This record gives sequence, structure tokens and C-alpha cells, in this order.
Amino acid sequence: MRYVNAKLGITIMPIVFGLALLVVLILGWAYYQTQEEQGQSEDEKTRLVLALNVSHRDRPFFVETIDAFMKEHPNIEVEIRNIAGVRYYQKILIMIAGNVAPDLMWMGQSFAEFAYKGAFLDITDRLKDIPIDEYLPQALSWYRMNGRQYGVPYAIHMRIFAYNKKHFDEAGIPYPSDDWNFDEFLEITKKLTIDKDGDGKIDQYGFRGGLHRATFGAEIFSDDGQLALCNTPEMVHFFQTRLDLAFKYKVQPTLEMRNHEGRNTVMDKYPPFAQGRYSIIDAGNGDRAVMLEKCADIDWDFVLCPKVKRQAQWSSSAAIVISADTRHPDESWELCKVFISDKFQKSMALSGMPTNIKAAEEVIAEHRGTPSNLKAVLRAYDFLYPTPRVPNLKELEAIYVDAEEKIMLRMATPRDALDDAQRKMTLAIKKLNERSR
Amino acid sequence: MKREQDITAFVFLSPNIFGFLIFTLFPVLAALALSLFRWDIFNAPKFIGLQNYLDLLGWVFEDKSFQWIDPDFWKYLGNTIFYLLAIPLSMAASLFLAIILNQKLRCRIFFRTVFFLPTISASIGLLILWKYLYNGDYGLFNFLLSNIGIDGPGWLTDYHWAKPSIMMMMIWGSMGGVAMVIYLAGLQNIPRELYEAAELDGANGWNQFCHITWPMLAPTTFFIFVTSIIAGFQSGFDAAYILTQGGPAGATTTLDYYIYNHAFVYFNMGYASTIAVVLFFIVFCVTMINWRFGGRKVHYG
Repeated sequence: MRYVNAKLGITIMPIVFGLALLVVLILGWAYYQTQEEQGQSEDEKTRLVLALNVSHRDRPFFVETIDAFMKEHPNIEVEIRNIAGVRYYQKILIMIAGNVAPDLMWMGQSFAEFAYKGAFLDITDRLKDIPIDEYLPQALSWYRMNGRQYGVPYAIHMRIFAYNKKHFDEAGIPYPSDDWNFDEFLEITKKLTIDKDGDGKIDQYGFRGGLHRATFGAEIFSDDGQLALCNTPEMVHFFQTRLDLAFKYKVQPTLEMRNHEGRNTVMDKYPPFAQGRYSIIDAGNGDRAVMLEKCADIDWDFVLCPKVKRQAQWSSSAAIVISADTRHPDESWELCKVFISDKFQKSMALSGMPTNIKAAEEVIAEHRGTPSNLKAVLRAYDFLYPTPRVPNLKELEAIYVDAEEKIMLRMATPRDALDDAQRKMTLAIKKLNERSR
Repeated sequence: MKREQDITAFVFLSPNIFGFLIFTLFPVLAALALSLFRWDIFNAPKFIGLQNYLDLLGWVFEDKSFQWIDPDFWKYLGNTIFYLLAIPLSMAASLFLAIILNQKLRCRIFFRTVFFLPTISASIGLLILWKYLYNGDYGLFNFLLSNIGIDGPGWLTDYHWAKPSIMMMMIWGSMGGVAMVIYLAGLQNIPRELYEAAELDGANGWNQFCHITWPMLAPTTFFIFVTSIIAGFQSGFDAAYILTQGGPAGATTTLDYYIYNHAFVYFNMGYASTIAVVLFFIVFCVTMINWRFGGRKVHYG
């Protein structure tokens, strides 16, 4: 029995081969387009691709700056690809691996992961074009590796605290000063934690969020990234204090209660603060634009973290770096310099304090309104040092975050969870070293 | 003539064969090969033998001997298996719905469509909807519970509640889906005469179900069970990615999400391939066991 019609099959064969040919042509055209995009544009302008990870608030500043740059450099055309979101680094890594890296790219905390892979252009010899001594050394050091500089950040973000002035007024407590200590902080949070309607449930917590481990002198790993420091006495003290605030003194909600409000993101954490649920909250100077919008109805201010060992923690920074694969290093550097300039840094001050100290001082001097203590951000510069750089920060941080959740959900004691994290991280660092050999 | 037939058959099959070779077999073989390498996409892969497998299973070569550590793999395998518990519940719900929708009800076409909607809707939208339903502060579930004086849990944020919450969501999503449609088809294939004869013998509805419907649906049930188990081992990614990021404390991380993290967040392609290969063998073995022991009890026709 014949199951198929042979004639029909033979008629179909040219169609199949035709389709295959069409696929080949489409792939060839796509490849040609990719190559075209990477090189000169049709009118012989140099075409630069800039990948950004910026919010809708910051994007106009970039667009404006780039428009001005293109007017000054009519032979250069800049295309912005804003890949905003948590998967930014992942997408950039895939672009680099796929040989379609942008010429310039926004870079922050994941700098080291890329730098270890040789993703950036060394700009050390080009730094003579800018007054490098005016820049915050700690911020510059984050973008340096093996003595070579790969970027100059335009903004730095620090973790400090913000507080609701009305709550202090209502409780008759003077506003905190930048030189307060931890005992004073604890006493204040106790006074500000209130069950307003007497139903046995706390309506206003004195504090929300995490204390910052760096303020306790704790770090996840050593400066060279070779030694896990998860279970140091400082780290145990840090976590025990966080537990005590939630479970012993009850001046802050437990992690479970806090998680009800969503993940600890900028968009989730400030609305409850604005609603008066918390008196003091851990905040970042980089969130100032969001805070001004979300907390517009309350009178709030910044204050440094209470004294333990340090009074601020490095959160992140932002720079525009040049791809090692760019075909236009000189043009890219010209554009890069615009983002390093005082003018641009000052324009971005709502999202991050300038790393140019002179520009930062000017921002503070010119600032009016909320927060009135913006200079706390400048003072925080004294306590800053960047998180140690390791090739695979996310993988190692995931171990720490897992331990943190276990402790804060009281699934394990700080000592047990941190010992376990220490063991896992030591092993992970060893594996990472083997991988990079 | 025979040769002509062969060519014709090949021509018809070729799109599928090429598709299978390029998009299925090649990646599977590549994953198998990559599992023996250390590769971060940027640098050349380095052959490391079975090291990835030892790491995954928890054996570490230190101080000239193998030592066992507790890797995350076993925990995430446990999470994945926990989600499999949803399969019998989901199948029971699918069968129940199919039986209801197989009755001569008014608007049954409408209800069939309604129950099938979650299957054809964008999963992202559904997950975001569930995220709001589960919200501890303003979610519908806790609002309803608070009306009767119960302080609802953090459905997705409490370590003990997160997995069951996602499981409930999975049951909701799959009960009216493909399984229900297959059961409906199975029910419609059962000869009416069997029920008529049973009625004459005085059998009630429950007896008819136990002695006619259930045995006659055995092949259908077996098919749904096997395919659900295969899909179940690869489930949980959407929920982990959108709702919980695998937390709290890894409670909702499944092997699928674990593979994703190692492949596209940490760029450990070799290790991710190792997890994928191990998952493949687990699914293969479980399916073989199902066929070997479950298949015996199924009566066809």
C-alpha cells in the first residue's frame, strides 16, 4: 500500500529547497545588517551605540547631553539603547558574548565581573584630558583593576538613613544629628514605636529596613576577594543586632512582616514611609528623586547612620565605560568625557552625588528644600570604601543573601547560618579561582 | 517505486527531522558535552571531566579525599518534587470538571472556554494577578481572611507558605487546561451502552464512575499522569522568576530556575548543563518506572 503520493512529494521538494534558500538569504541579510550597524552609517557618520540602564527620570538628561554632543560633533551619531531593569548586566554580557557589544555602556556594581572578562577599554593614558585629582579616590578605585583605569563614575550612591520629622515632633524628640551613636538610635526608635489605637498591634515602627553591615565593620569577603568573611564576630554582631531590633526590642517589623509590603525595592519601600508607618528608614542618596516624588506629603530629612564603626555604606556608583571591542575608541572617549564633566554630574545629582568633589560641594551649596541635611551625603564620603571586587559577585552574594534570609526568618541562628555561608563561600571562591585560571 | 516512496516520505518528514536535529538533538548533545567543561561564554571551555557532577551532587575533593558537602541541588530537587504533589490534585480537579462539562448542561461550551482560558492566557499576566491576590497587606485572600478575624500569612513571603501557595496556583492553572480537554475526549469515547446496562442493573452514579468511567479512562489518566510528571520536573520557573525570585531562602527555587541562574546570571554554562543533564536522567528514569509499573495496570479497550 502506498501511503504517499510520489508525484506530490517531488512537487514539494523544490518548495522545501526554496524555503531553505529563503532562510539562508534572511540569515545573510540579518548578518549584513548587524555588520552595517556596527560600522559607519549610510551617510559616513561614525555611529556609536550607548547602552544605558537609567530610569525614565534620568533618561532626558542623557538625551539632552547626547543631542548637545552630536551638535558639537556632527560627524558622530549616537544611538541610545536603554535596557533599564534588573536584567541589564545579563543582557550586556550576552551582547558582548554575541559580538554585538555596544561602544559605550552604563556600568555600576558589576564592573568587576565585566572587567575580569576584559570587556572594557583601558582609559588610563587618556585620563590626562581630565582633572582626575578632583574626583573622589574611593569612587575612582572601583573602576580600577591591576593599576589600570577603565572608567570614571559620574555618580555615587550611599546608604544612609532618612527620618520623618513629624514623628519626632509628635514624640517631642529632637531631630537626630549626624554624630549620633547606636544607643541613641535604639532609644529613639523605642520611643517612636507606637501602638496608636491600642489594639495590641504596632501602627508606627521606629525603624524599617536593614542596618548596613559596613557600619558594623562587617564585609562579605576580604579586599582582594580571596577570603570569605561571612562568620566574623562583626558579622555575627551585625545580624544579632538586626534580630534584636525586630524580635527583642520590636522597634522594626520582622522580615516576614516587611515582605508583605513587597520586595525591598525603591518603589516598594518608600510608600509605607510616606504613609507614616515608619519613623526612620534606611535610604540612599541615589533614591532622592523617588523620595521627593513618593514622600512629597511628609517632611523628611537625611541623617548619617548611627555610629558603630562607620556611618555610611557604599551602595553603588554609575559610570559610562567604553567597550574593549569598540571600533571607535577616540570618538567613544570624546563622548565619555561628556559624562565625566561637572555639568553632567551636577545635572544627575538627584540620582547620585557627583564623584567630582568640587561639583558635589556646589550641589550641596546650591541645594534648597528637602532634604535640608543633604550635606550628610557629602559627610558620608569620609566613611566610604567600595565593596571588594570579585569576578562573580552575584554568585557569591547569593550565598550571603541565602544566609541572611535564613537568619532573619529565624530558620537558623546567626552563628550556624554564617558558618554555613562561610564554608560555601570559601568553596565558591576556590571554584572561581579554578575557573579563572 | 520503493525508492520514490522513500524519497517522498523523507521530503514530508524533512522539515521535522531538520528541526528536531538542529533545535532539539544538537542542543541536548551540546548540553551533554558542555557538562564536562567549565565555560563562562567569554573564555574557551576547559575540560574538567566529571567535576561538575561531583560538585552538583555534593562531593568535593579536598585534603586528598572526597568530602561531602550539602549543595543546593538536593534542596531544589526537593522543591521540584514537592510541586509534583500538585499533579494528582490537578488531575482529580480536571477529571471532575470534565465530568461536569460532559453533562448536558446549558452553556457548557461557554464554561469549557472559561475553564480553558488560563491555558491560553499569557502566564506573566496571570502571575502578576496572583501576586496581588497573595499580597500580605492588600491581597484579596488576606482581606477575606481578615473579615473572619484571621490574620493571613505572607503567602509568598513566608518560608512555609510559599511552596504551597505556588502549588495552589499551579493547580488552578492546570485543572481546566489540556488535561480537562483530554479527559473530555476520553469520556466521550466511553460507549453509552455500558452506562445503560449498568443503570438496568441498578448501579448508582458512584458505582458507574468506579466500575465504568474510571477503568475506561485508565489509558487517558496514564497518559496525562506521565506527561504531567515530565512537565512537572521542568516547572516552577515562571513563578520563581516573576513572584519570588526563588525565595524566601530558596523555598521556591526549582531545578529549572536553578539552571537559569547558573546559565544566565552566573554564566556557569558547564554547571548549568550538568544540572540539565541530571534533570534529564531523573525525568527519563521516572518515566521508565511509570511505563514499567504503571503501564501494566492500564487496560486498553
